[in-house]
Amino acid sequence: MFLQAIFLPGFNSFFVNVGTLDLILKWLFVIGFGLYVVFAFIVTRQISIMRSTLISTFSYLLTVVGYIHLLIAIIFFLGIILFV
Amino acid sequence: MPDIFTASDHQTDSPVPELVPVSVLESDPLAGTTTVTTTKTVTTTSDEIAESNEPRCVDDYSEVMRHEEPTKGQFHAFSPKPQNLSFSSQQKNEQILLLLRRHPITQIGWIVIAAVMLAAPLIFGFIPFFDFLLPKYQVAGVIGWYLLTLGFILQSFLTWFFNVNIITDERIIDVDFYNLLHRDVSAAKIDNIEDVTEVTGGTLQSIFDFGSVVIQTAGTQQKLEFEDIPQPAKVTRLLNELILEEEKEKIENRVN
Repeated sequence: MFLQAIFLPGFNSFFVNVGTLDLILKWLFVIGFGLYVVFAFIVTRQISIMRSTLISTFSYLLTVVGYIHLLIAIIFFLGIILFV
Repeated sequence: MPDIFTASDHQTDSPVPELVPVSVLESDPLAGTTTVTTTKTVTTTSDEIAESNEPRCVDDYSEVMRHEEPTKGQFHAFSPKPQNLSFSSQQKNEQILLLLRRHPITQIGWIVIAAVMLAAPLIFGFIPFFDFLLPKYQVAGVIGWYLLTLGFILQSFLTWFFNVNIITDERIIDVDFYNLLHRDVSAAKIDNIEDVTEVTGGTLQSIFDFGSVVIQTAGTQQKLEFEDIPQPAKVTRLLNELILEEEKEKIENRVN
């Protein structure tokens, strides 16, 4: 009953308003994806530190992978804000 | 008729070739005698004089390295004489002899977890477990899950790739990235190594020939550990050869 109240549209329970719960759920996703963006940023920083410690030709490619990862995280973060 | 050249030990800064008098020994193989017959003056450079004081190539004194070919790839766990590779605190004439990472078999754990994480949304697709969620949240959940999986794979790979043990002709370096925020780089000079212990045990280590090498040093960092590295016996042998060479260098007063 409680889960139905949270997740099914147009269902108003005695205790909670569905619109409010939808908003809570959306913000949980926004916070989750936001934290992931922070994690992806830390990964890029860490790659640059690791690169300076061990210098190889492959390290450059890893930096690119790190930035692509950060870009993907930002795109999905914005997607969650705008479309969910 | 063999000529034996003996160069003087003194070294000059001048790049201009200088004349150094040397004795030429002439030997008579039939008579079995060697006599100094003439004194010639030959042209020699300061570089040639310095050669006798330079450290030897690793292949000259290491039986282990003599049989190893230079490694070109970047993903080997056991890379003798790695090419196109250096590290931050590397000195000008310091040569990397061996780069070590954890044996690939020790990475199976996170690879299996990653495979399960990748397959999980497909499995749950058949089970209507999240059907009570609105479709938009279902899609966002799947995207979030795959992002988490991507992050997990990236972080695990980076930890393996950059967690290295380096043996140079002068030092041993242990680089540990415990996680994304914690890094520990330890180094010890080969002269300071006091004891090298090889530790292997268990079925997997016996089958795949990997284990740990514990190095006791006289420095502030008293113990360095190369964990789960391939061919620990070979690494131990190399370290022993390097210790011997360092001792010889000290005795012979060679530059290092």
